Amino acid sequence: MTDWKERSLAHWGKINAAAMRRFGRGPLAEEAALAVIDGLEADDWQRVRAFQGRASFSSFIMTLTARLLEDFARKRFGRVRPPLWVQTFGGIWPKLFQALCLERLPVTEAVEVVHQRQTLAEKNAIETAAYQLLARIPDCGMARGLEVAYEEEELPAEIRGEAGPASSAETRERRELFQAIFQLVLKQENGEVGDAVLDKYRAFQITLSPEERLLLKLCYQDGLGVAEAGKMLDLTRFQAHGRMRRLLERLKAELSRTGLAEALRPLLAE
Amino acid sequence: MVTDPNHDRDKKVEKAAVLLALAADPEEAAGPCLIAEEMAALVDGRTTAAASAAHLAHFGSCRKCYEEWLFLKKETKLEIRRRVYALRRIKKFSYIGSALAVAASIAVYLNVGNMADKTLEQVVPDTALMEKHAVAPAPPRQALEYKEKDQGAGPVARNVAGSTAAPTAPTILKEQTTGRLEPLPASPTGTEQFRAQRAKRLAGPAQSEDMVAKEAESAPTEITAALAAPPGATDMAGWLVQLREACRADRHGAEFWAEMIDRGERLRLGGTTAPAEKQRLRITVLLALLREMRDPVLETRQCRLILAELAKDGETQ
Repeated sequence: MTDWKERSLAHWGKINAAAMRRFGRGPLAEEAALAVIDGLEADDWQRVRAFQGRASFSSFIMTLTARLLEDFARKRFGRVRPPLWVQTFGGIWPKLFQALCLERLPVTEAVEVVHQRQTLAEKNAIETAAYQLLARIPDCGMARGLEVAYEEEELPAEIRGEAGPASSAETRERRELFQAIFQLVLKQENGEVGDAVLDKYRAFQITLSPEERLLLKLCYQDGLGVAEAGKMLDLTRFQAHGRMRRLLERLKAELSRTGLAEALRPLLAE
Repeated sequence: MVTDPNHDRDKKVEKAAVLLALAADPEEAAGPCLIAEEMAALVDGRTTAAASAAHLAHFGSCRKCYEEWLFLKKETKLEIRRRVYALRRIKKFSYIGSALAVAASIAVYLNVGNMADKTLEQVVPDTALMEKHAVAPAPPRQALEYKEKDQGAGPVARNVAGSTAAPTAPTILKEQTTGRLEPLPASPTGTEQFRAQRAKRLAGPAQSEDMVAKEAESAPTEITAALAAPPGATDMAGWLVQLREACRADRHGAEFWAEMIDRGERLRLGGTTAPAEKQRLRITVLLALLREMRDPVLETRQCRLILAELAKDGETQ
């Protein structure tokens, strides 16, 4: 008979390390690691008993650990949908949002935690991003004392980013997105876009396959190289570069078709 | 590194376009979220190609699963890096064996050199002692003084001529001049023969001339002259030479210095003629310096004074 407890606790070191990478080196990480053990032990090790041998037990435990750590974070700090621009930027930005606005960590600690989670990003870049995020979300971390489980419906409208009717919220979010792209990506001083540009953007329709979307996310959100991203998707470097090239050409064509490229050109010219 | 500003700008515009496309494309979940074991199998690479493609397609639209997949991939990569690092460390440790072997060889080599020095240093007094014991016990100082008064000759001279007194200077001188040690005879008869041969070698004109010619190139003038002088003076020169060399080597024990003092005393008591009086004075000064050499710490300082004393008349350089 398998001793699930013994098998699970044999991975205690890995669980602890994962908790520290997720929450930094502090009492919170220890608490999270203990919560993982509690989660594994629940209902007489029911989660662990589900193991059927299709993967290595170590990977299985780590998968459960990752899920239980996120459960712990959600229970402790609640869940808030980040603004559209934060979601779109991806990579370090949602993690910074989580660390600063939900877990309310000081900037230095948040930078450390995100650096642990997003090993590819440089610490200086994360720190700069943290201050940019705080500057763009003045309400970040304001809802203190909500250390209970809550869903996004219960959140104040300012944090949710839904101040008015759905359409105006959408317009506002898109305006924020353009502003963030101009200021943070293109490094333009003025990121204000007119309604004409937003109308053209509404007409912008591009359908990405899940695989294409994944390739773009890996390269442009998480900062992986095209070859490395291709490797994660079981593609050779030539296949990956070929796909990326074709994808960018399609994108360019769609921007031209909708007139969005023409509308943005004056804003890009300096 | 020089970067092309246009290239950088193109990259930024490209990224802006991609971000706009990602925001514009509605995320529609492709299939259900993965169960824990499916995710683990995907990370381990144990899924079929079709299942893998389906799972990856799901990640394109499910942020939660995508984040989890990235987290696990990074964990796996870190684990592999840790293992590789551990293996590298083991590989590094393998060099320690070789390094230790080399260090041990060097240590042995250095110690062998030191041991050779020590052996050479110890041979001189040991040989003298061996000779002493093989021939006869040294007479007490009072007896020597009595003989000096009676016969008017130094004990050293009598020793070289084959008497029972056994100072060790000739043996040492022989070692220093010839550069090698000769075995001492075991029987008294053999000892007599050996002494006779040695006295002949030291006192004989042909041998002395040869040695003087050799020594004249390097040795101080007084010592050179002493080598050609009568046997008593030769012992004196031998003592001075050994004293000088010992002080230069600067590595001797208390026993050695005691032996030197003993010999110096005997030489001092042996001289009666006018040059011997001059030598006696020198010996007295040197003995006074030697007697201060009780502490090994003082050895270097006293040796400097002795060398200075020896160099006064230009004997040493």
